[in-house]
Amino acid sequence: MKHDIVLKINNETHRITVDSRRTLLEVIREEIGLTGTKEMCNKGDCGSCTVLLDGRPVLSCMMLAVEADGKEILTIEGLAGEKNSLHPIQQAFVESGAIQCGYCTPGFIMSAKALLDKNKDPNVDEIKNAISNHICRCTGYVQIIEAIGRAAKILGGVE
Amino acid sequence: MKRESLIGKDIPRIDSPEKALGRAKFAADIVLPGMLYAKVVRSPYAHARILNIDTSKAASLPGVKAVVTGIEDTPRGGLFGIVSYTKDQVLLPYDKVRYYGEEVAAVAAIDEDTAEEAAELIKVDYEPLPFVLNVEDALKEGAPLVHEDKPGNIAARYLVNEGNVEEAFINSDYVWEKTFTCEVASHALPEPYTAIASYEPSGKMNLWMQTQCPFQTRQALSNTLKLPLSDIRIHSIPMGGGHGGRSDTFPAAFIACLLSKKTGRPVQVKLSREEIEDCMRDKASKIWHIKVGFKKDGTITARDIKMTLECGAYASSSIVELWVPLLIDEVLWRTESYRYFGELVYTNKTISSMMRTRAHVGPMSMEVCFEQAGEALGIDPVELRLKNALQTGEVSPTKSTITSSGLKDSIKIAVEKSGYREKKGRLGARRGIGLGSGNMQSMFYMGFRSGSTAFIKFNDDGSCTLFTGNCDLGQGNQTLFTQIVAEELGIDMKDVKLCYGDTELCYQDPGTYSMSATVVSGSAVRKAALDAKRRLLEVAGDLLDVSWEEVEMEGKEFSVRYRRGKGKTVSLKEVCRTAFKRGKPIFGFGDHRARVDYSDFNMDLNIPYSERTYGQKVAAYSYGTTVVELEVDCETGKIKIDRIWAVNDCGTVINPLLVKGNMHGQLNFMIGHGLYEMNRWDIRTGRKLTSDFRSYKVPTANEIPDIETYFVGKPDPNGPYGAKEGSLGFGCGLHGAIANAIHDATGVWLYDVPFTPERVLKALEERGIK
Amino acid sequence: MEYFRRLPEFDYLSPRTVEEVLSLIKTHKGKAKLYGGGTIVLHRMKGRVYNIPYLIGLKAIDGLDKITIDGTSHIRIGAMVKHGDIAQSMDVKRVCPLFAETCSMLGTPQIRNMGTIGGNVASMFATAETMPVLVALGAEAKLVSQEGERIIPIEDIHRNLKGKEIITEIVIPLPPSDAKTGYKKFALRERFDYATVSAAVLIQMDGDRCGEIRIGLGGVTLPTRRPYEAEEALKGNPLNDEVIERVSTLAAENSRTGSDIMFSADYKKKLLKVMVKRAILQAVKGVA
Repeated sequence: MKHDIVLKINNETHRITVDSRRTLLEVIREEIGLTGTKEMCNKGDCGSCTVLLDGRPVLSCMMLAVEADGKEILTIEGLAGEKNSLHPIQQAFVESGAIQCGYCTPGFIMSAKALLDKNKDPNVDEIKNAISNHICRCTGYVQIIEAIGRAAKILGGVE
Repeated sequence: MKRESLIGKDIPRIDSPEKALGRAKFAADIVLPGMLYAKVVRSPYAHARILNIDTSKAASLPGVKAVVTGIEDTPRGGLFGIVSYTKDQVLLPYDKVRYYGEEVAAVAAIDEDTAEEAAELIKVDYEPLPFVLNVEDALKEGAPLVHEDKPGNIAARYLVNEGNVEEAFINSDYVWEKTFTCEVASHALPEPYTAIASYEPSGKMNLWMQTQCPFQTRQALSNTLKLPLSDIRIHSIPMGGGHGGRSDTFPAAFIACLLSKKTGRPVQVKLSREEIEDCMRDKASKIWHIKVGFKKDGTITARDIKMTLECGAYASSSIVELWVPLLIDEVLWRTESYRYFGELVYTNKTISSMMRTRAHVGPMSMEVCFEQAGEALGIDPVELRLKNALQTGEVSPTKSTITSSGLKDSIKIAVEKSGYREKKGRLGARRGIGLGSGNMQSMFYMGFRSGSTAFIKFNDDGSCTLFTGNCDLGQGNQTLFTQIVAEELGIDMKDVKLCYGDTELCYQDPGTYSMSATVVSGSAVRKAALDAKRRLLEVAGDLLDVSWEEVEMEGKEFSVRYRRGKGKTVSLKEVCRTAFKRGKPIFGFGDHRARVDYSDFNMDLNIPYSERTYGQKVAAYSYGTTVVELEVDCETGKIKIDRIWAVNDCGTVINPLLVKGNMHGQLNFMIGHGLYEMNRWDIRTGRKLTSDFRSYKVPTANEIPDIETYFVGKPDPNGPYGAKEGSLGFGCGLHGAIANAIHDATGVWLYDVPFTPERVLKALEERGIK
Repeated sequence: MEYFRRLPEFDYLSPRTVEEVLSLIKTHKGKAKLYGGGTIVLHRMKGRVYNIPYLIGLKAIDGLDKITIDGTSHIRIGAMVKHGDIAQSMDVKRVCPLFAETCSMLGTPQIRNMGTIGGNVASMFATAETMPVLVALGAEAKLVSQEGERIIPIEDIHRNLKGKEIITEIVIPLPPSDAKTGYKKFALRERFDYATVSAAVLIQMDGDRCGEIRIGLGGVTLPTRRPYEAEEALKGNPLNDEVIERVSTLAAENSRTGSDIMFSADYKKKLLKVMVKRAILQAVKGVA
């Protein structure tokens, strides 16, 4: 079954026709061509396909594209400023050494964004809770947690 | 003004911005014009003969462009294996399958959905065979043979026997003996394995894929596809993790090549999470039996080790795991008589390979030994370790010289920083502290692949491009190499461009294999930079009318050394342009061969071990010690690690930000393997049951404790600037530290990894502890 | 052999009213599944556990995503309310903090933003994490079919929910102000794994003795979710260590656990006993 839907991704409106079976992840990557959102497990365990749907983090592999009809979607590509200038969260991830192979990074950054939008000064436990759906096999998470704390400071104008 | 040295500076990875932006293109992000999508048909039996494959229905499905099977398409005679005597795998088999999920056929179609539908239409007739799922069964008399030509299911054996172990035990005052085990663990790599092959009419096979060692992969694909080596090109792309699990050459890449050759179009093979976990690589399970003799004063007299290693269906790089525990064990603790016997055993399971945490059972066994022997002998266990720790300049039982050992220093620092002596036995109910040391090789012998060659070309604007065959799966090698070039030439890192891991453009390199990136590839890069600098100085000298020795390079400017700041200067750009005008552009060449001469990892049992040559097997050894403080929930058996102190003897620390991150990563892996991660198989079918992140329990952020990192900081003469391997060795003793801390907390000893809550509770109940 | 794959072909139907849902269920009997948050259904579709041509999406139906306080007697939670919304609802936090807390401990932020209470209850998973606390709170489910509506105790839902029915609402009686509550779960990775076992209790004291008590268990077979014998054994007794030990032993012994990939049934039973004990201690002593 085909559905005509409207997806507002990173402030850009896409009118597309999708099959019922297409997940939001597949549409973002394969139809829209935004490959920053990653597939790691395709079954809701790893968090790397996280996007913000109306401001809240969701797993785009466990959601049908048709369900996102009319919603606002933010992906990793929507964070950067002009000319690919790094968003403060991205900057903090780079500077803290929070990125090793970098495959899981976009998912972590999206969850960090959702957290920092609501909580300007999260403590370590709140940060760990916010990234609890994410698997990283390289870093040991220490520098990721530091990065999110650092991002909060940059966003709050402290750093 | 002379620029401050870059060595020892916290420098963020140069590839991080594009990854933070979501702009890095991993294999699965690449779409080539006309690309087809492939799906693999896999065996539903753990062991079966392939009788017939009917592909007609699949082939006639609209959208299907090609089908391949082992019977029709696998070139005969090309086997995959790491060394000559373990070449045992047909990458797309035609006679039988040896584990559940093994590849039997594949189909390429215009999209993934069509490929999946077609794969379901391929009918394979099998004759199921009895199978073995553990080493105990595999070693039984009359057990089903995984490979008919490997009697007893033995893939290989390895024996070292130095001194006289039996006599030494008789003359010992105290003999300690125990058996330790660890379960099959998984790499659980983030990025789904993806290979894109594009066969050109010229005969060139282009590949975009994950590999830790592009040059070995090129060789293996050439052998198995029967294509000339030079017709295979592996392109460099970002890769999502390796940790040892991307060292081998996999059927998916082989199949992508077969399909691309057949269709003349690019073909992508992308594996699902379950396919990755079931059909890529694991780490071998291990039974480690160890006997240690001591004199009254605590001196170790002899060690006798028997290891049984399970490689799964094919030997693969598990063969390396057969000797690596020796390489680790023999250089940690001094001993006169030493025997090490390892046996690699086939089972009908997922193939095992190398892994970053690999040999941890060995170091763990000695850590437990020191605690128990210390008590028996009335010697403080820390002193016992310090007494037996191998030091710089000493020689191992098989004649490797240790060029630098920070083992003793690392123990002392860890003890001091953690407050170990004050805390041991005094942390109160259910809390404990434990210590454990480990080590790792920086480059072990890999035949003619033991060396790396790098070169640098200077562009006409004064910037340069470095070419190295090494690659980067997240370790930070791109940053390391760029940093070295910038350091030697005194230019900005952003003026150093990098071309890496491309088999067409770069010279051969070991890859991120055998922990060689810093010591071998890094040294080659440094030599290339120095070579280029000499040429720059020569041209600059001509322009300044002095000999090259009198020229000084600072930033992008050359001047005469003794006329600093006054006389004439020439710019880097000017020098580069002059060189071009002369028809001799600036170029730098650097080659580094590791200081290893051990040429016999040949485990052919027909050759008596005594006829083998011994010698330097490893370029340099890194050491380190971890201390763990933890709490045991004695009602549930669950362990919570509160804090880890990690001391790393990795020589000079070139980039602490990166090394610390890699250390956290190693501890993450070790915690996962130590406390949570276990694989399970369905004993009726042989199918793996732990094929995702829910069932295979890798740690999340909430399982990682506070970590303090320290460095010993003593340089090694082999590596660039005195650096050694920095990510693995320090943490290899963590399981020993955990076992010792559990004992400190509860009085209970555990010998089987992982220390799951159920195992801990069982041990507590047996001792009547609540 | 089924490997987890991309989704098979199906039609996603998006009815606007409960009546439309019921009529679609009838039309596509045996060929359709209800689709709430999606986290469970898509998982089963990708794993080819479900091979069905229709999904009936419930997201477009008005009114199923509301939380309402019914005077001082009940709190009504629509079946499509997400766990995260319950966890953050000021109303739920005020009148029934235990339930808000349970929902905040369920899964991960993403799962809480996607999964619904109705889906969790209807999943019939032994490990469904809202169930123990709903049982302890004496919650009921409102089931609607073309024949009409009915209200059933939540612990009996596995016996009652028919294919032609849908859950529209979970109704929780507001706990008395003097009620003591506790909830404990065991998960290997605390904020990632679903509970291996869990226990929730609601206790009303009668002087220094236990008066009304309800216990809900998770990680056990569905008919043994509520350990009636253990509840009876506690009633009228002082809540001392000896009684709590006896009651938690009884609760664990009379319930049934199954082995999973990681843990044996026997070990899970031992864990269950500990969780019951700790939940009671949390209720009576406020031990976290």
